[in-house]
Amino acid sequence: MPLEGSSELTGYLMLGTMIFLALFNVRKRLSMLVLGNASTWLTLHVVIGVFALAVYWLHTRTIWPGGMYEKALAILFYLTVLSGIVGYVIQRFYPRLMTQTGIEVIFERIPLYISELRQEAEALVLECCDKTRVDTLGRHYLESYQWFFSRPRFTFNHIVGSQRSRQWLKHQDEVVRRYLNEDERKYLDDLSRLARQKERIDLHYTLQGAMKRWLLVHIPLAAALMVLSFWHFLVVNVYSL
Amino acid sequence: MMDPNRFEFDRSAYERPNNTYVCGRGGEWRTPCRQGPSHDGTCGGVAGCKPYHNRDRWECRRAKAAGGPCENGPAPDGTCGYTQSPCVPRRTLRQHRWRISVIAPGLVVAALAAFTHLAGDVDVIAEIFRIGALDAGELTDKHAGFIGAQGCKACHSAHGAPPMVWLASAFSENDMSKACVGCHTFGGPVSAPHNAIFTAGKKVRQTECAMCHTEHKGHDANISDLSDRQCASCHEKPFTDFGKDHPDFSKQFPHFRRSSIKFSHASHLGKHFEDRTVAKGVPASCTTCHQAESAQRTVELLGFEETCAVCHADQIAKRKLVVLQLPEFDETDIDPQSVVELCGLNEDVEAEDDYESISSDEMSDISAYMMGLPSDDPGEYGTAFQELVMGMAEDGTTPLVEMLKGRVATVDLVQLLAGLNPEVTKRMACAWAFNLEYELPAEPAFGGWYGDLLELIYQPGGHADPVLMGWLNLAINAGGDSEEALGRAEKMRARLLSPKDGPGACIKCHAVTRDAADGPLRIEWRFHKDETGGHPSYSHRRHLGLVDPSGVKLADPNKGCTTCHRLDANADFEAGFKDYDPMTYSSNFFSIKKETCVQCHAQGHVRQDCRLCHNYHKEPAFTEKVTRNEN
Repeated sequence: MPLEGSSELTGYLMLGTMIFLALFNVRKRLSMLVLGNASTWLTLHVVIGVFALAVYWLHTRTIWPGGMYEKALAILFYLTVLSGIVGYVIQRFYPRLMTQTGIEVIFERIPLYISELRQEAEALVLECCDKTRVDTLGRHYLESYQWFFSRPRFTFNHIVGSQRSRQWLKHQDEVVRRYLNEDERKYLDDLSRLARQKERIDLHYTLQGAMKRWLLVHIPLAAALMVLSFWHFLVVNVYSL
Repeated sequence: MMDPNRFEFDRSAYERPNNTYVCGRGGEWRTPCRQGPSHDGTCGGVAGCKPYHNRDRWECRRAKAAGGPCENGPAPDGTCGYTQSPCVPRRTLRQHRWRISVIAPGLVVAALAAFTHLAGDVDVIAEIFRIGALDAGELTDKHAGFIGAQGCKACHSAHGAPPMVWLASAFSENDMSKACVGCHTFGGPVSAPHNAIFTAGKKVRQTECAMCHTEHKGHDANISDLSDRQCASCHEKPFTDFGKDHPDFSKQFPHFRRSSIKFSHASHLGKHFEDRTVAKGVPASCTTCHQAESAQRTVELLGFEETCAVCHADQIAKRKLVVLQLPEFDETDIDPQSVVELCGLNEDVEAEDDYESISSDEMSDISAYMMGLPSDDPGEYGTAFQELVMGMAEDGTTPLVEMLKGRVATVDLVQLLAGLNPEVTKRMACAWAFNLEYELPAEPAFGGWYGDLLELIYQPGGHADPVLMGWLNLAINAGGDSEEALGRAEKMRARLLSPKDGPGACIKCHAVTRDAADGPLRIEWRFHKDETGGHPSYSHRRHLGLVDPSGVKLADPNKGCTTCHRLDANADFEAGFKDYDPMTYSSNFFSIKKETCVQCHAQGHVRQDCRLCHNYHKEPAFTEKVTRNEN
């Protein structure tokens, strides 16, 4: 096979590979059709995605091409592959971390749960102040817990697997416990329980969010790559083949 | 949250993540309302429910999951009694993803459309957009310098065409080789492998330049460098080891064509150099005559003066060229009184009553060819020759020039008669006109033109004498328009090229060659640089340093040049020069075998890739366009 012919062959192989990879997204949208298991499609998408990287290097015979629009093509390709690898890693490891929390949460309901937990915590603190006639826990809530319950916190720490949120909660418990009487401590126990529940929901929100948001990068990049690839296909046919 | 019944219909809402909007309250981490946003993106949770009109009464329809029917109930006009301020619904994550997924390729399309649409309006802008949409990479410096104002169109014919024509060219073949041959030329068809014409029936596919030479790889890319893999794309026989996979060299290798100088190494080494009388002229080694220090493929010779002159220089001056010879006349038409007047003599001369020609020879073959008359019939040539003599007596060289003009279209007259003094011609002609021999005042010691007795002679001054070369070039292709004229030309050629005497001695060393079957003959005056065969990249200089770094010893048969070039004393070297075909030839040296090269060019030793010895193209060169370079 002449080398010129091999470039043509790898070019068509590359195009076919990319079309197949793009079909994975179509498959998800056409769930009503019997097109094979989603897990099989995902496996094929990952394997052929790696294969596409090899075909790309075979086709271009370089890691970094020379032309302006070919550089744009290369940037889009590498970013798509990179985002795909990041997404695959996220999909493989984050579910295990979420399982370790012991709870299951629907992503879309997380705002409701956070709201409910906040309301419950505020009611608890009000009841404490009302019944014990001491506002120590109330003031502490306003200074620390209120910030925590207002929305998901420690996002970056959850993404990287840090335990900083737990340490923060433990610190907030310890820092106020010594100033509370016996009755107040019971309320603090309940408040800490709610805070730990909120911390687990935060973890779910962060990890599930990451599992959804990486596609905000991968799919648009892949779509742009497809368009530019077709342009490349057209230009090559007009100018050289 | 871990309650297994928490998803029952009356306890939780049914989530629809594929909706366009989600509740704005949820987005602010407050409790989202159960109804959620409307499809148009407005808040749907201002009212707690949509009351139902039943038998003139309005009934609350708030869902059980949202707390069931409210205490206030609907107002008399049917509006919900539980209202709250509206939120600003937010787009879902999926909706964001969809929008970005459309925007990203849309931006690419818009950019490409802008690049291609705006290209051509203004040169600077056109260049920017061309780079953005079409630039496949920098051209090599060599090519970039030649495309000039044509730009991409120099190679890509579709570039700059109207959109539909541009698009249509995607469905037709674009052979860029046509553009390549605008500057590059080869010794065969450009689309044939190796630019060679193969025998009918041999399976070869057509080639294109771009199959091997890929442009747009950067300004300093070496696009002419090819790999063994590229060769193997057509040559199906696997090649990994030069010693095992390469076919044996041909029987002639590397002596495919005879040399331009008829120098027999066998007779010189075996006979002449053994003669003690010429001991001072014997070269010390091969490199005494051959310029090995700077040699690449061809080892050129040093000049005549540095090599052959020591033995052969004296022989050249002896080889005189007799251009004119006074022939015998039956009678004379020359008026002596006219000769007296022309020659400026102060005495009266009377005509001889009984004329007897001073010469008893026929007209020479050279004179016969130049005058176009038979040499053996004084009756035919007598009058013409006597007119020539009288003309020379009157005008010196002018009649000779006029006579040669009609005969020597291809040879420069100035070269043929360079240095011929009209006075010499005139005095000699005067003597001849009086039927006398011209007496030379002194022996010609320095060569050049002179008259002696009955002959006009040219004596060469040394090697590469231009006058002698001119007359031999005239003789080699002398012809005529009739059978008689051809006969005279043949006799003249035989006379001039005769190795026995005269200038024909040149031909003893310089080969006479006919390059094409029906082409003209030519004398190989200069060293022939043999570029035939497929090994132009061989470097003698590098190899000589390897076979004997201390110097090339002629005497040692196992060192230096003789490592590869072994003398074949029995070869019929002379026979190769008897015909005019330079390719029918027996070398003085045995052919070189592959085993000689394999000693070093083997796996684990030095390079053995195809391109080390072979060039792909046949006679690559450039057209005039390249040398002119109007850009």
